[in-house]
Amino acid sequence: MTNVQADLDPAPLVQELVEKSKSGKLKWEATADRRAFVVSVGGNTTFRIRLVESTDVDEFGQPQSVQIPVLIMLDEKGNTLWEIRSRDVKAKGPGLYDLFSMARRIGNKLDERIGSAISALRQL
Amino acid sequence: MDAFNLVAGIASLVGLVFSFLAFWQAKSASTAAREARDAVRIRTLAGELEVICVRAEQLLDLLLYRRLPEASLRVGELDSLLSEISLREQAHLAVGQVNSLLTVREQVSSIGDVILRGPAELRNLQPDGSVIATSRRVATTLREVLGAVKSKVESEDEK
Repeated sequence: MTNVQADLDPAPLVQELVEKSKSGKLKWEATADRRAFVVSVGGNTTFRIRLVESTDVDEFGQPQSVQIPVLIMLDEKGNTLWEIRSRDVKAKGPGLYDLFSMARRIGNKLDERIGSAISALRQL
Repeated sequence: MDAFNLVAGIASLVGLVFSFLAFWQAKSASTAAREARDAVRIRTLAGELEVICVRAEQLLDLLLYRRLPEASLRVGELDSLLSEISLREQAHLAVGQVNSLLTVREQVSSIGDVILRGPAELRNLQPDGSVIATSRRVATTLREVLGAVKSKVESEDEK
C-alpha cells in the first residue's frame, strides 16, 4: 500500500536514470529547445530535463540569475506527473546536474562528434 | 446385449474423436481469424504512420521556408496524431517503437514552443539551427518506425 504521508524521494529515480544513461541504455534526444532533452521508457513514461532560469543570492547578498536543471516526468498522454528540482534531490550521489550533463552529452552525440573531430585533426 | 454395448462404446469413441477434431478445427480457425485481423491492423497502422511521416516532412519544409503559421498548425496536427497512435496501437508496436513515438511527440511539441516564442527565435530556423535539426530527427525517427512496421507487414505476407 502506498504511504502517502512520506515525501516522495526522487533520489533513487535520479540515480537510476544517471546509471542507465552512463551504461548507454537511455537514448536521450535533443529537442528544439537547446536546453532540453527527452527520453521515453517503458512505452508509457517520458522524462524531460531542462535548464530553467532561477534567481539565487550570491556571496554578497545580491540576487543573481542562475540556470538550474528541472526533471519532468510525463505520462503517455503528455501530462506532467512529477516535477523534480535540484533541491528536491537530497541524498548523496548523482544529482540533476550530473543527469543533465549525461543527457546533453548523449542527446548532442558529443562522443561521436569528438571522435570524428579527433580523426579530422589527425588527418591535417 | 454385449454387441449393443460394443457398438455404443465404439460410437462414443468415434464421437469423442470427432468432437476433438471439431474443437481443433475451431481453434485453428479462431487463430487464423485473429492473425488475419492482426495483419489488417498492422497494415492500417503502416498506412497511418505513412501519413504521419508525410506530415513530419511537410513540417520540415514549412520550417525551412519559414512559413511559421502553417508550421504551427502542422505541429498541432502531428501532436494529436502521435498521441492517438501511441495510445491506440500499443498492442501492435514494440515498446521501443512506442518510446520513439512518445519522444518524437515531445520533440514536435518543443518545435511548437520555439515557433510560438516569435521572431527572437528565428536564428533557430537556420538550416543548422536546433528547430530544423530536431524536425529532421523527427522525420527520420518516424521513417525508422514506419520501416520496422512495414517489415512486419512484409513478413506477415510471406507467411
